[in-house]
Amino acid sequence: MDILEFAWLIPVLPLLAFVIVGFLGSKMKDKGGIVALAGVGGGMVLALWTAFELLTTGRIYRANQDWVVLSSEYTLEMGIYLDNVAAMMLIVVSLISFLVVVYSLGYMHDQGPRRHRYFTEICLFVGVMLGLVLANNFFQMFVFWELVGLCSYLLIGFWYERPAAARAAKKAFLVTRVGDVMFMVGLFILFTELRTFNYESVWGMLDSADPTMMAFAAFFLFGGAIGKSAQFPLHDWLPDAMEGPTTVSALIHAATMVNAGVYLVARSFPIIATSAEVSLFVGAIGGITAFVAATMALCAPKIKGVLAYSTVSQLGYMILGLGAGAFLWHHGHHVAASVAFGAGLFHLMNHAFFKGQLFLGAGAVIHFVHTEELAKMGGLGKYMKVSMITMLISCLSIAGIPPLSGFWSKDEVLAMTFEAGDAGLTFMVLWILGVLTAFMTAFYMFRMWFMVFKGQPNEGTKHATEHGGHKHEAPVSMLLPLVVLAALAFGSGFSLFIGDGFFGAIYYDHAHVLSIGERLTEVFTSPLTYISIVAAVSGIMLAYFSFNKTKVSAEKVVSKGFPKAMHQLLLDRYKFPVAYDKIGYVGVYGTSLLLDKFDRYVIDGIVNGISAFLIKSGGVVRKLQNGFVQSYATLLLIGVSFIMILLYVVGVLR
Amino acid sequence: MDYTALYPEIIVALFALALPAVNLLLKDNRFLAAVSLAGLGLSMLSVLMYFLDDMGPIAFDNGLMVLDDFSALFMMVFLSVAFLVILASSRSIEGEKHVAEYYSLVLLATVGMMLVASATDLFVLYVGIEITSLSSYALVAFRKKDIRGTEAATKYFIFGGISSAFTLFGISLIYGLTGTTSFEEIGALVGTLEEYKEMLWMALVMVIVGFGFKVAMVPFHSWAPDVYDGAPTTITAMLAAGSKKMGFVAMFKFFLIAMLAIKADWEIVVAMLAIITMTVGNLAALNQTSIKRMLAYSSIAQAGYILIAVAVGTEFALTGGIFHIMTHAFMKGGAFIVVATLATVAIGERIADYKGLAKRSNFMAFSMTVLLFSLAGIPPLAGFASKVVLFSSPIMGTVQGAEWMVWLSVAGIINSAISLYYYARVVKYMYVDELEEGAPSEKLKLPKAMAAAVAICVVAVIGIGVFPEYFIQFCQDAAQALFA
Amino acid sequence: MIPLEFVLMISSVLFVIGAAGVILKKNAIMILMSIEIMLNAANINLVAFSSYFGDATGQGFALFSIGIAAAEVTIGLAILLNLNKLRKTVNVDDINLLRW
Repeated sequence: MDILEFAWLIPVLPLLAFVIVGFLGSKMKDKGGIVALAGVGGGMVLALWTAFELLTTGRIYRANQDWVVLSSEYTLEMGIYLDNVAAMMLIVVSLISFLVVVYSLGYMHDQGPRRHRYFTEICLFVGVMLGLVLANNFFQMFVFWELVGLCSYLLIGFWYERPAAARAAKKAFLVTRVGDVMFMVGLFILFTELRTFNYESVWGMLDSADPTMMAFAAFFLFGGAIGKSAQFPLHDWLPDAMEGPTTVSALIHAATMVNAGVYLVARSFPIIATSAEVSLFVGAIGGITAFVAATMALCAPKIKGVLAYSTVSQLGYMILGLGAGAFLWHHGHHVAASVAFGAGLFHLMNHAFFKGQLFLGAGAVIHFVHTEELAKMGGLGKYMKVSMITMLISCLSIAGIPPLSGFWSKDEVLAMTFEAGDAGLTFMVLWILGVLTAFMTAFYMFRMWFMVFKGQPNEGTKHATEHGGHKHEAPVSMLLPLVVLAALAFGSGFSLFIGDGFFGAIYYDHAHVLSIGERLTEVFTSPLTYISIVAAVSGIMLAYFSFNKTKVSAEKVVSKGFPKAMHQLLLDRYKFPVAYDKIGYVGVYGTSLLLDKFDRYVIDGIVNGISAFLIKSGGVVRKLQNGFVQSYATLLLIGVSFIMILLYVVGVLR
Repeated sequence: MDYTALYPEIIVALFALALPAVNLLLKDNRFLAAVSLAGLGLSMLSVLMYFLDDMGPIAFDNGLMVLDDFSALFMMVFLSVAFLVILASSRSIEGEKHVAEYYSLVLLATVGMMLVASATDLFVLYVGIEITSLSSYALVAFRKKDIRGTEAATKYFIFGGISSAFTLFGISLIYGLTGTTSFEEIGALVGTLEEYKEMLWMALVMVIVGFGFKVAMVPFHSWAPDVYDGAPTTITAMLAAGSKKMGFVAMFKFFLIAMLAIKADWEIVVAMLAIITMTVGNLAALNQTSIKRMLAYSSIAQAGYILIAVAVGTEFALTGGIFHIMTHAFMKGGAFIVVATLATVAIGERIADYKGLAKRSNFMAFSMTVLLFSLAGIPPLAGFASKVVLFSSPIMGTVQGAEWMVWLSVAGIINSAISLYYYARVVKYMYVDELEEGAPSEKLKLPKAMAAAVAICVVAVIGIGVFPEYFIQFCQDAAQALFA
Repeated sequence: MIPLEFVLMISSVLFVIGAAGVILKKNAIMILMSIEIMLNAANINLVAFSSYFGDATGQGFALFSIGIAAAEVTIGLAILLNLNKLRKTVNVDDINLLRW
């Protein structure tokens, strides 16, 4: 039996669960939770099996079926195209979805009948997301892309009675539509030029295609990714999207849907690589996003806010890696390009695991203290051992501390950006931004971690633990996914060393596969590696001294080796937290506030302006319909004259 | 004379005339509905016979009408619409007076549409349009005690009268210029009228008024929202899904047969009207509070999309236009029938009345969702497939010097994107929002016949969306027949 | 025989008078009459061309259109009668319940 022949079942199983839960869920005792679990779980088993088959054999599986036959030459097809990139996406999407559904069984427990809607929408989401991954052409991808967007809209607005949630849902919908329109325009250009949407046909025809048009196509396709993956300047919807349930944030807005944009960039990588300008643009957007979002994360007051900005920032890294890869490819450095491509996607996978874990952990915390304000937490480590330790692993991973997963991919992205700097100086600037981002990432993640788990218990913690609140952690169904994801966040980086190199599997080009020894030597002999490690460590230190000084005594820190030197260095500035308050707040927070203002007024202004303009002009058009039949008749006569004049003008001009 | 080509029309016309007589014998609403449905079914059979026998075009007498793939396809569309409307009406007008006349008028309107579908002559075309118009004026005014219905009828009738006068005047000018009323003969002569060009344009514009009125093309659309809103909802369904489509059939014949030789003169103007129409329709729909008005404006926007087919004017574009007409008949007709069905169980016509509908009737909410999403063009529903063909036609058919047509596609796509907003809003109301304060919350008991009509539309929309290639084939045959 | 131009002029003038009446008159009955004038302008055209060409089609058309116009008036008057019953007015400025 060839498992790949059954690949089409991967999205079908969750969709089947969607139909069953949708129609019958309200009558079930658990509102369809078990069916959802079974459907998504079945999809996961198949997806993992398929991915295993693909990765171990290196096969590429193709299947297609004509769908809308426009004419004998032009046909829209539905099909499956599975290569190693798709295999990696399958693993990420199916695994995290499954864990989130498991987690939801506990997390949504108190939501009553509303769970029915939740499970229905989650199943639909998982199905269409898997469908998106399986697609063999850009058009089919777009179809699922839109459906995924719809699910996101519905789930953000899950608590529709909160005005903020309704607003966020609308905003997400409108902002991502800007990207969708760009995507459509890109599709349009592709089809006009190449008359096909099929990935392989498109890639194969690039050499003979008009380079200008391909550059436009690449630009607009990337525009789609800007919307969906929340890149600057359309990043603003993602932090607002945190109004949805935390599980949804974990599933959609951190671990899977936002990756669709990166996946799109990966699929259009050869098109992007045809143009140096577009490659540069992609890289620049990625770098800027990573940096800008990281500065915003520094002062975010809510736990999910930190994670949301962090997600945007990490997505920026992925895009930066892919952009650098495309740029290198364009300049003929094919080996480096494929490393960069792989690095971007590798970061996608690692990020999905640790960010999924962080969100679910945050969910557990919120579940416990019933607040999202960081300032109201503190001292939770005593009550939530499992959450604390698993989140620590993820924080270390995202900060880029070796040998955790985040280190391998982030380091690789930065190294390749540096390498691209040889061909174009802009990438040098982007590399500096990337290193600064790495520093800030470490800082804000640990700021969050310390504020939640260490320090004095604040009102939220007290309220939860003192007034007859539960003093124990979340149920097992919630803790199990945390542990599994933490293990993955710890270890997914090592997949780099599996067999022929799992990492090698997601190269665009398979020419460059290094052995374990070679890779390790390469990584650890490069000064770049130490720069990023130092950036990460100093970020963590800064967070430690800023937010944890009251709890951990100086002696304790000094007694350990490396922190001792570091501590000694800072000892003269014992009042560093105060200084940080004074200088850091004014400087860093000021900048981030400024950026936030810019974002809120200028960028939002434009986005909201367009929708407001549409609604307003809709109102004007509507008022023209004044109800008097004679004004209609007058309009008719004016229309006749107008058309007559038009005919004349066109006739004369022609 | 050989009447084979006219059998479908004759059957429906006979049933229409017989119904008032039947009413004298048996005053039973459901029986009358059944008789009408039987008439429509018989007529459908005779059209099917044409398809099955593969007879090829059958001309009637001296070439006033023809039964070919084009007219047969549209007859099927019109007959199906009438079938659904009567099926739905059989419950929504229960207890009213003069039901026999109601069914009779619906059948007569259908006869008019079928005449237009098979006309090869301006004369028959005009008569067909008028038969439909006169029947629908009466149908809109059917509820005599209803102020809104009567007002709608007044407006409809006044506006319709003006348009029909314009059309007739335009036809008289064309007759004066060419000496004939047959499409083909006009088509052969029209290219030679270089010196009377202005006169010809004048005639062209005047004829457009009448057709533009029927299809609700901007600036001749202003009656549509009021009339769609005020008319009995089942009749609204017929206007949107039947009578509007008849206008397009007339337009196709007029522009693509009679006026094809001077296409360069009007294509840009029609293209502009198409873009204006879709934009105005969508913008006005954004802020509506009444579901019928929203659907009416959406219907105007859809007219804009279909006009793309006229402006591009290739066989491929026509295929797309016909296909979209077909799918739109089901999705818009179905949406209005949903509104009508819900009205019989005391759910109002404000969009806000649909809040929490999914909790009261899963079936209705699901159907409405499918129909609205199809209108928005979300795959894999019918509206998506037809929009794909329609919107790709300006690119596919691009001839030298007409690259500007690509803007038609762009405008169509942007407009579709805007339209999703107001469709999705209804879906959100139905599924996400709670019932309004004080509104009843028990499950709805839906009239079976109406639910059946809705179900047929939903099945058609999904079926066409999933297996579009068979239907595209039919539409392509029809387009070829028109150009033959 | 009357030259064709004269007839065309008459018909055009009639058509414009009708169109003006439609948008200026407030009484729905008057609007109905104006529409009839417009239709008849077209009928004059048809008959004139028909006799000019020596072809019967136009006259046949005109006969049909007169018949249709008669039916239209009937339906129109019936609707207006009903309107008058319900609203006690046939002034078109008073009927704008349906708008926006």
